[in-house]
Amino acid sequence: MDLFKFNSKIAFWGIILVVVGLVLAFATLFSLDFDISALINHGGSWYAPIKWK
Amino acid sequence: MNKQIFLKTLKKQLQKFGVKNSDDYLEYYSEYLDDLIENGSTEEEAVQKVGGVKKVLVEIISDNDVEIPQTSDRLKSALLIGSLPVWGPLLLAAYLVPILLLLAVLLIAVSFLLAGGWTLVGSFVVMTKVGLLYAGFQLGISLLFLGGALLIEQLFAFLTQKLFSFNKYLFRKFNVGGIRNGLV
Repeated sequence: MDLFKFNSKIAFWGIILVVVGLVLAFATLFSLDFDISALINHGGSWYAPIKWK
Repeated sequence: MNKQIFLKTLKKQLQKFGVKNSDDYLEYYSEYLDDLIENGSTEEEAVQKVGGVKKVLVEIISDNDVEIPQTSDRLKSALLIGSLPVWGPLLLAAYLVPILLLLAVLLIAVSFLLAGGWTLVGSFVVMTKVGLLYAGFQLGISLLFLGGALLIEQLFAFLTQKLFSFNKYLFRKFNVGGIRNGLV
Protein backbone atom coordinates (compact mmCIF):
# COMPACT_ATOMS: atom_id res chain seq x y z
CA MET A 1 0.00 0.00 0.00
CA ASP A 2 1.61 3.23 -1.13
CA LEU A 3 1.04 5.94 1.46
CA PHE A 4 2.19 8.63 -0.94
CA LYS A 5 -0.57 8.05 -3.46
CA PHE A 6 -4.19 8.94 -2.86
CA ASN A 7 -5.94 5.76 -1.76
CA SER A 8 -9.69 5.84 -1.23
CA LYS A 9 -9.48 2.81 1.11
CA ILE A 10 -7.24 4.70 3.54
CA ALA A 11 -9.49 7.76 3.31
CA PHE A 12 -12.52 5.53 3.97
CA TRP A 13 -10.92 4.06 7.12
CA GLY A 14 -9.91 7.56 8.20
CA ILE A 15 -13.54 8.68 8.00
CA ILE A 16 -14.67 5.53 9.86
CA LEU A 17 -12.15 6.22 12.66
CA VAL A 18 -13.26 9.86 12.94
CA VAL A 19 -16.95 8.89 13.10
CA VAL A 20 -16.38 6.11 15.65
CA GLY A 21 -14.17 8.43 17.71
CA LEU A 22 -16.77 11.20 17.64
CA VAL A 23 -19.59 8.86 18.69
CA LEU A 24 -17.50 7.29 21.46
CA ALA A 25 -16.23 10.64 22.73
CA PHE A 26 -19.68 12.27 22.81
CA ALA A 27 -21.43 9.21 24.26
CA THR A 28 -18.96 8.98 27.13
CA LEU A 29 -18.70 12.75 27.58
CA PHE A 30 -22.43 13.11 28.26
CA SER A 31 -22.47 10.20 30.68
CA LEU A 32 -19.49 11.61 32.60
CA ASP A 33 -21.30 14.69 34.00
CA PHE A 34 -18.54 17.09 33.10
CA ASP A 35 -19.35 20.68 33.97
CA ILE A 36 -18.82 21.83 30.39
CA SER A 37 -19.69 25.49 30.98
CA ALA A 38 -17.12 25.59 33.79
CA LEU A 39 -14.61 23.98 31.42
CA ILE A 40 -15.18 26.63 28.80
CA ASN A 41 -15.56 29.63 31.14
CA HIS A 42 -12.72 29.00 33.49
CA GLY A 43 -11.75 32.67 33.28
CA GLY A 44 -8.11 32.05 32.55
CA SER A 45 -7.49 29.77 35.46
CA TRP A 46 -7.10 26.10 34.80
CA TYR A 47 -9.93 24.06 36.17
CA ALA A 48 -10.34 20.37 35.56
CA PRO A 49 -13.96 19.57 36.40
CA ILE A 50 -13.39 15.91 37.02
CA LYS A 51 -15.36 14.48 39.91
CA TRP A 52 -12.91 12.08 41.48
CA LYS A 53 -14.39 9.12 43.30
CA MET B 1 -5.39 12.59 -36.36
CA ASN B 2 -6.67 13.95 -39.65
CA LYS B 3 -4.96 16.46 -41.89
CA GLN B 4 -6.76 19.53 -40.55
CA ILE B 5 -6.06 18.80 -36.89
CA PHE B 6 -2.45 18.00 -37.75
CA LEU B 7 -1.95 21.33 -39.51
CA LYS B 8 -3.77 23.24 -36.79
CA THR B 9 -1.66 21.69 -34.01
CA LEU B 10 1.51 22.23 -36.02
CA LYS B 11 0.60 25.88 -36.56
CA LYS B 12 0.06 26.40 -32.85
CA GLN B 13 3.40 24.80 -31.98
CA LEU B 14 5.24 26.82 -34.63
CA GLN B 15 3.72 30.02 -33.26
CA LYS B 16 4.81 28.98 -29.78
CA PHE B 17 8.40 28.72 -30.96
CA GLY B 18 8.12 32.03 -32.83
CA VAL B 19 8.78 30.58 -36.29
CA LYS B 20 8.39 33.50 -38.67
CA ASN B 21 8.03 31.62 -41.94
CA SER B 22 5.61 29.06 -40.52
CA ASP B 23 3.24 29.52 -43.50
CA ASP B 24 5.88 28.10 -45.87
CA TYR B 25 6.18 24.96 -43.80
CA LEU B 26 2.42 24.58 -43.33
CA GLU B 27 1.93 24.90 -47.09
CA TYR B 28 4.70 22.37 -47.74
CA TYR B 29 3.26 19.81 -45.34
CA SER B 30 -0.28 20.42 -46.60
CA GLU B 31 0.85 19.63 -50.15
CA TYR B 32 2.90 16.68 -48.96
CA LEU B 33 -0.16 15.24 -47.19
CA ASP B 34 -2.33 15.88 -50.28
CA ASP B 35 0.15 13.92 -52.39
CA LEU B 36 0.09 11.01 -49.98
CA ILE B 37 -3.72 11.06 -49.92
CA GLU B 38 -3.84 11.14 -53.75
CA ASN B 39 -1.60 8.08 -53.79
CA GLY B 40 -4.16 6.12 -51.84
CA SER B 41 -3.48 6.78 -48.12
CA THR B 42 -6.21 7.83 -45.76
CA GLU B 43 -5.70 11.14 -43.94
CA GLU B 44 -4.67 9.35 -40.75
CA GLU B 45 -2.19 7.15 -42.59
CA ALA B 46 -0.73 10.16 -44.36
CA VAL B 47 -0.21 11.99 -41.05
CA GLN B 48 1.39 8.85 -39.65
CA LYS B 49 3.73 8.56 -42.64
CA VAL B 50 4.83 12.17 -42.17
CA GLY B 51 5.71 11.29 -38.59
CA GLY B 52 3.19 13.20 -36.45
CA VAL B 53 3.36 16.69 -35.02
CA LYS B 54 6.33 16.20 -32.69
CA LYS B 55 8.63 14.77 -35.32
CA VAL B 56 7.67 17.38 -37.92
CA LEU B 57 8.14 20.16 -35.36
CA VAL B 58 11.66 18.97 -34.53
CA GLU B 59 12.43 18.69 -38.25
CA ILE B 60 11.23 22.24 -38.91
CA ILE B 61 13.08 23.75 -35.96
CA SER B 62 16.31 22.05 -36.95
CA ASP B 63 15.81 23.03 -40.61
CA ASN B 64 18.39 25.40 -42.14
CA ASP B 65 15.81 27.78 -43.62
CA VAL B 66 13.75 28.25 -40.50
CA GLU B 67 13.46 31.85 -39.33
CA ILE B 68 13.29 32.13 -35.58
CA PRO B 69 14.09 35.67 -34.48
CA GLN B 70 16.74 35.87 -31.80
CA THR B 71 15.89 38.05 -28.83
CA SER B 72 15.57 41.17 -30.93
CA ASP B 73 14.70 43.61 -28.24
CA ARG B 74 17.98 44.01 -26.41
CA LEU B 75 16.59 46.63 -24.04
CA LYS B 76 13.82 44.27 -23.02
CA SER B 77 16.18 41.45 -22.20
CA ALA B 78 18.58 43.82 -20.44
CA LEU B 79 15.71 45.07 -18.28
CA LEU B 80 14.62 41.54 -17.57
CA ILE B 81 18.09 40.52 -16.43
CA GLY B 82 18.67 43.83 -14.62
CA SER B 83 15.50 43.41 -12.58
CA LEU B 84 16.36 39.82 -11.66
CA PRO B 85 17.07 40.79 -8.02
CA VAL B 86 13.46 42.01 -7.80
CA TRP B 87 11.46 39.31 -9.54
CA GLY B 88 13.88 36.46 -8.86
CA PRO B 89 13.23 36.18 -5.11
CA LEU B 90 9.51 36.83 -5.66
CA LEU B 91 9.34 34.00 -8.17
CA LEU B 92 11.30 31.73 -5.86
CA ALA B 93 8.99 32.61 -2.97
CA ALA B 94 5.91 31.94 -5.11
CA TYR B 95 7.38 28.59 -6.06
CA LEU B 96 8.27 27.71 -2.47
CA VAL B 97 4.89 28.64 -0.91
CA PRO B 98 2.97 25.56 -2.12
CA ILE B 99 5.88 23.26 -1.24
CA LEU B 100 6.05 24.63 2.31
CA LEU B 101 2.27 24.48 2.68
CA LEU B 102 2.52 20.84 1.72
CA LEU B 103 5.20 20.34 4.36
CA ALA B 104 2.89 21.99 6.90
CA VAL B 105 0.09 19.56 5.98
CA LEU B 106 2.51 16.64 6.45
CA LEU B 107 3.55 17.98 9.85
CA ILE B 108 -0.10 18.30 10.92
CA ALA B 109 -0.64 14.67 9.92
CA VAL B 110 2.44 13.55 11.89
CA SER B 111 1.42 15.52 14.98
CA PHE B 112 -2.12 14.08 14.81
CA LEU B 113 -0.57 10.61 14.57
CA LEU B 114 1.66 11.23 17.60
CA ALA B 115 -1.20 12.73 19.63
CA GLY B 116 -3.51 9.86 18.64
CA GLY B 117 -0.93 7.21 19.49
CA TRP B 118 -0.12 8.83 22.83
CA THR B 119 -3.75 9.21 23.92
CA LEU B 120 -4.50 5.66 22.71
CA VAL B 121 -1.80 4.26 24.99
CA GLY B 122 -2.92 6.65 27.74
CA SER B 123 -6.53 5.45 27.52
CA PHE B 124 -5.46 1.97 28.70
CA VAL B 125 -3.70 3.55 31.67
CA VAL B 126 -6.85 5.60 32.41
CA MET B 127 -8.93 2.42 32.16
CA THR B 128 -7.01 0.77 35.00
CA LYS B 129 -6.39 3.90 37.10
CA VAL B 130 -9.56 6.00 36.71
CA GLY B 131 -12.49 4.21 35.15
CA LEU B 132 -14.02 2.77 32.03
CA LEU B 133 -16.05 5.85 31.05
CA TYR B 134 -13.06 8.15 31.24
CA ALA B 135 -11.04 5.63 29.26
CA GLY B 136 -13.82 5.48 26.66
CA PHE B 137 -13.76 9.26 26.34
CA GLN B 138 -10.01 9.29 25.88
CA LEU B 139 -10.18 6.38 23.42
CA GLY B 140 -12.76 8.35 21.40
CA ILE B 141 -10.47 11.37 21.32
CA SER B 142 -7.52 9.20 20.27
CA LEU B 143 -9.56 7.62 17.45
CA LEU B 144 -10.50 11.13 16.33
CA PHE B 145 -6.82 12.06 16.21
CA LEU B 146 -5.84 8.88 14.37
CA GLY B 147 -8.66 9.22 11.84
CA GLY B 148 -7.72 12.87 11.35
CA ALA B 149 -4.10 11.82 10.81
CA LEU B 150 -5.13 9.35 8.10
CA LEU B 151 -7.36 11.89 6.36
CA ILE B 152 -4.74 14.65 6.45
CA GLU B 153 -2.11 12.20 5.22
CA GLN B 154 -4.38 11.43 2.27
CA LEU B 155 -4.80 15.15 1.65
CA PHE B 156 -1.00 15.39 1.64
CA ALA B 157 -0.71 12.53 -0.86
CA PHE B 158 -3.36 14.11 -3.11
CA LEU B 159 -1.73 17.56 -3.01
CA THR B 160 1.71 16.05 -3.64
CA GLN B 161 0.43 14.40 -6.79
CA LYS B 162 -1.09 17.69 -7.94
CA LEU B 163 2.13 19.60 -7.24
CA PHE B 164 4.12 16.94 -9.07
CA SER B 165 2.00 17.19 -12.19
CA PHE B 166 2.15 20.99 -12.01
CA ASN B 167 5.94 20.80 -11.92
CA LYS B 168 5.89 18.41 -14.86
CA TYR B 169 3.76 20.95 -16.74
CA LEU B 170 6.22 23.77 -15.88
CA PHE B 171 9.12 21.60 -17.04
CA ARG B 172 7.39 20.88 -20.34
CA LYS B 173 6.50 24.51 -20.86
CA PHE B 174 9.91 26.02 -20.21
CA ASN B 175 12.25 23.29 -21.39
CA VAL B 176 12.66 23.51 -25.17
CA GLY B 177 14.81 20.36 -25.10
CA GLY B 178 11.70 18.59 -23.86
CA ILE B 179 10.23 18.36 -27.34
CA ARG B 180 13.14 16.17 -28.39
CA ASN B 181 12.31 13.76 -25.60
CA GLY B 182 8.71 13.63 -26.78
CA LEU B 183 7.33 15.56 -23.82
CA VAL B 184 5.33 18.19 -25.72
